[in-house]
Amino acid sequence: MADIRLESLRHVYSRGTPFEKTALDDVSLDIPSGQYVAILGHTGSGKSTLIQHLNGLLAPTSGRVLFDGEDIHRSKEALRDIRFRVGLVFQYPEYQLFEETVYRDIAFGPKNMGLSESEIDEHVRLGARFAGVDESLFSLSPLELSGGQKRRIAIAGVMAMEPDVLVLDEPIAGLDPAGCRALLKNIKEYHRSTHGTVILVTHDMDVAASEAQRLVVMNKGAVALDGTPAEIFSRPTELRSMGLDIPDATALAQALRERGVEIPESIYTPRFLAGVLLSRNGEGPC
Amino acid sequence: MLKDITLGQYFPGDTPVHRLDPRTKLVCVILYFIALFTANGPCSVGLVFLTLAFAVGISRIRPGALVKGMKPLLFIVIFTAILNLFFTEGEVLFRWWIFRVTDQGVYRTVLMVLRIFLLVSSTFLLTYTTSPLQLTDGMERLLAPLKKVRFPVHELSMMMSIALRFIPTLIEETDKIMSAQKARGADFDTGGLAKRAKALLPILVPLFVSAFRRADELATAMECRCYHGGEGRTRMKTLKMGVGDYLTLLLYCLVVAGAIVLVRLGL
Ligand SMILES: Nc1ncnc2c1ncn2[C@@H]1O[C@H](COP(=O)(O)OP(=O)(O)O)[C@@H](O)[C@H]1O
Ligand SMILES: [Mg+2]
Repeated sequence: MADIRLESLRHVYSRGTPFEKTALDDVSLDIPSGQYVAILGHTGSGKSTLIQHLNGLLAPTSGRVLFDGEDIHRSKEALRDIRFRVGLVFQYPEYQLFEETVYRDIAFGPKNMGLSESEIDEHVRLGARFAGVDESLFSLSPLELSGGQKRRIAIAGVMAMEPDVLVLDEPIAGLDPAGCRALLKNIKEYHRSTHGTVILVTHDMDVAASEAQRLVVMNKGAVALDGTPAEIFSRPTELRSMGLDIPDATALAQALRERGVEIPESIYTPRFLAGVLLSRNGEGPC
Repeated sequence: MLKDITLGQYFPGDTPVHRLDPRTKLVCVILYFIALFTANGPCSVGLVFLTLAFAVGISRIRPGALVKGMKPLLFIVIFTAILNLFFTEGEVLFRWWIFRVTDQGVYRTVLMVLRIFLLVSSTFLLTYTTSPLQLTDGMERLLAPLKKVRFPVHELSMMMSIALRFIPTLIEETDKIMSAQKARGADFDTGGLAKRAKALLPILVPLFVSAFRRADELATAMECRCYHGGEGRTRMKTLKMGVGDYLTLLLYCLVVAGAIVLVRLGL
């Protein structure tokens, strides 16, 4: 199991200096094992701060982070173990590669886990496959590859630890559409085959709508909305007031509805909208 | 967190100290150093101490922030304190094993620690109340006469302001890279010196790569905006000395004079 529970989490940066800043204020959240959650929110709403609590990189100013019901900060050993069970991919991870070869960079996590050579090799290949890194790149230096490839390698490095929970901070920001689609597909495949939890931070509504089972919307350091995509996207005014948008499909459906076409409220993926429109075939004025 | 290091950090504010011309502040710090190194008796050291206390009071900088700035120097301070305490000749106050403490030793130690503290604090007061940009501007202007002997004053001050500008960025970046490696199980906190040094490698490589990338991008951006060195360059904010500046300079000259007189009188 890998159930995550946050209890009235608060985080204050640079406490006691003139630069004090409350980034999280009383956040409580339950993320059961196996869920695909998207965390949405405007820049500065506290998304990155929140996810760095999940593997204990940041310690809460007050409140608790529980993993399977136990406080992750109970001991140093527990914390180190959590780092391997909750894999965190940072924003722009491509700038964090450091090893001489791609293979060794991906192997960094598994090696720290204290696995044997053959287990490390197995983990590296698995991580590479899930992140879409071709084995022909293994002996190259990460520094000579393209930005998109580097990002895949960084993601492979985290997936290679085979975490129970995979957390990704804006993994698609700055990727070209093809790279973006491929990466999302790999993440979904990882989710399906490992039955692990996936927590995806993004501010792309279309991505959130088509990928996640549950959406958590952050605003000013607190959880503003929490629910299924259908529930969240039926509240466009609230989303807009928080500086967010609704998916293109929802906007299109809304525009059609305003013009008198009868379609249900809860549309948020292009595929679903297309299905609804096609099933209307034969109706209509003519 | 690394970010909490107060190295050349600027606390914005709007006090008379903040508003002084940076040149005034730089010269005052130099004058203050002269007074500080002249002072060697209780009265003269008291005078320099009060001067700084007065300046700190006006600047509204919390004294705690100055004390915190001493932290990196703690080792040196303790080291010199011990040397002074145990190895100064004088009337023996008490003995313990091979150590003996003399009255002169205690006196010199207190004086020494106080001096180091004042030396560091006065510099910190300067950087806390002056933005890096103002500071390098002031330096460039003060050193301007050296241009006559072909000393690259402008280039140096430009390099310095860029370096200062990027210190927080690099610290932030280091923090981020360390977090990313920790997320993959890197361990920076335990193990012997060799193991810890080795753990630093994963940080240094990406840090250097990104520093070079940044430097390259900055150079391009500067060239795109037609930067061509200091010649014929004018400033958006020209420095101007006001009445307050002259008065402050006068005050600091008086402090130096006062310290010299007090020392001459053996106080
Ligand atoms: N290391 C830090 N030190 C001080 N303040 C920070 C730090 N990191 C983030 N913040 C502040 O905390 C708030 C939340 O930031 P963050 O969690 O990065 O938001 P998001 O990821 O949603 O853009 C922002 O106002 C940001 O300025
Ligand atoms: Mg962020």
